[in-house]
Amino acid sequence: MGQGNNRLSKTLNEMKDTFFDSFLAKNIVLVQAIGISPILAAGVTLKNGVVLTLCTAAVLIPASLFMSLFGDKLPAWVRPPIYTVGAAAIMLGAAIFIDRVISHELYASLYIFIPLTAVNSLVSYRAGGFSVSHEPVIALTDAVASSLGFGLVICVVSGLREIAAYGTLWENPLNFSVVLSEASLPYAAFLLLGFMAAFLQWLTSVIGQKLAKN
Amino acid sequence: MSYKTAHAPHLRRSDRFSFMCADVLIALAPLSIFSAVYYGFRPVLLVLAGLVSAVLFETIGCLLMRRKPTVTDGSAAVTGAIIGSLVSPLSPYWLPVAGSAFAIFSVKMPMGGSGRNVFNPAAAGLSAITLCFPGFFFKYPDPGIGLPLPLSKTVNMASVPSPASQLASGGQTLYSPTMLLLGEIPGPIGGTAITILIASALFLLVRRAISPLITLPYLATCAVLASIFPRVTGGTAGSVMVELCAGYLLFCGIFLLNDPVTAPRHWLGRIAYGVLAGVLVMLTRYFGRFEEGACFAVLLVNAFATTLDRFGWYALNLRRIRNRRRS
Repeated sequence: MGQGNNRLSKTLNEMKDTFFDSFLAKNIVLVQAIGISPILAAGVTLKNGVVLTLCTAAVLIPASLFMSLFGDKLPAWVRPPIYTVGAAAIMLGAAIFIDRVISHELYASLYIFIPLTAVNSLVSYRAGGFSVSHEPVIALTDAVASSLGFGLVICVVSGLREIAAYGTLWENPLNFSVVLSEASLPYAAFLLLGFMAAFLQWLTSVIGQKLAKN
Repeated sequence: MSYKTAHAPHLRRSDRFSFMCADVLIALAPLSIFSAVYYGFRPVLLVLAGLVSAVLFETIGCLLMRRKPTVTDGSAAVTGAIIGSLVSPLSPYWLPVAGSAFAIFSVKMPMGGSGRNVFNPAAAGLSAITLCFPGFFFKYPDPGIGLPLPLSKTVNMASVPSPASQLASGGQTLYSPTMLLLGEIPGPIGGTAITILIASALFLLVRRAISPLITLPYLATCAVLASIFPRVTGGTAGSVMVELCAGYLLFCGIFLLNDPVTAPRHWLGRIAYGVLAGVLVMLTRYFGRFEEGACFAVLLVNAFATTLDRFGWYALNLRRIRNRRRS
């Protein structure tokens, strides 16, 4: 019984560490610089950002789970086609769902980026690399944390860009007198990502110093 | 035995850096005075706004980083004055201040402050304001108007197309070589007075503040590209003349590329640096979104400075390195 408890607390600890690492300390976008392209191209309005976060989570979580369960039983060259085809199938469903159920305009503004999520380097890196060598629980935690980390960055960037470029947030007008239409261009996202990455480095160094003192 | 330590930029004599900055400021002064002849006192105020704000921001940055202030070496003043010299005489006063803020706070200080920056802060500040406010940046007044510009916060005045924008749209150029040389063309504060720019370049060459090994290959590359791919009708010579005098291409070759902190030190590396900068400047002109993108080209070529330094050394010592490997 005691051994089982010990094992459980060890797994919980590992889950906590993985979550914190993937979400913040080694943030997939700001530290590992993976999955930047959708943020640059499509992260222009908060709605796009949220939809892309959900799409990424919908692809990454099943792919990671599958790869951690069956990945080590498959030869290495079979893995990428399997999770890519699976991801493409999920994204096909998501695209039809967004078009029919949510709104056609949203689909029209995102139609090129939804299929691209399936071949995003974020998915191949986390599902094809990390998950294969880890237990399903850890892989699942990592997938959720990575999706949340990606979501946090894309939502902050797209929200700020929407405010700056159109003066709206989630399509609600904010009545600003100055509107910088240039913010919808990719360079604005590069600038924001640079500043956010620098802020994250500062944050982790401050937290590290605090932890080292205690 | 004791070693003396000095911080970057590693020139032969470390006290030369502040003299160099003073020389650059002296060379920049006639440009704004020339602009003041056409447009009144406003250009001088714009240059001063950039200069003073850059010095102020550097002091604040040093205080925040708990460091001995490095404003006395003059590099911040040069950065601010260059940014102020490349905005339009019509721009509002906050434009050079915004450029200086970006240059100092996000390019210079995070890299370690004076002498340690990888990228030219002035070029970075200019890129930021070019990208964020192209509406202000490329609106130039007509030099033939004969009246001084109002000194109010913003000026509402019709702008005229500059030679660079005419090059971008193609066709016959409206400016004769005499007009170009005398600087009677719409353009940024310090970029139009070609004759004064050449005189400033000669002054800085004599004072050894700039290197001919960067500026001459740069201008030669631009001229060759302009003669091979002309964008205006009226012969090769006309195309070369207009391309070299339009925008701030010449200014960039004198003041931005010769920054002692970001430029290579090896002579062969310097020549390669100049040629690469020329190619990139012309490419940003031919294919870029804006009529003038020399600041982006400077940032790109800054990234190659160390590599080019090493490349120059290897190219000259190839035989020696091979012999050593064999033995």
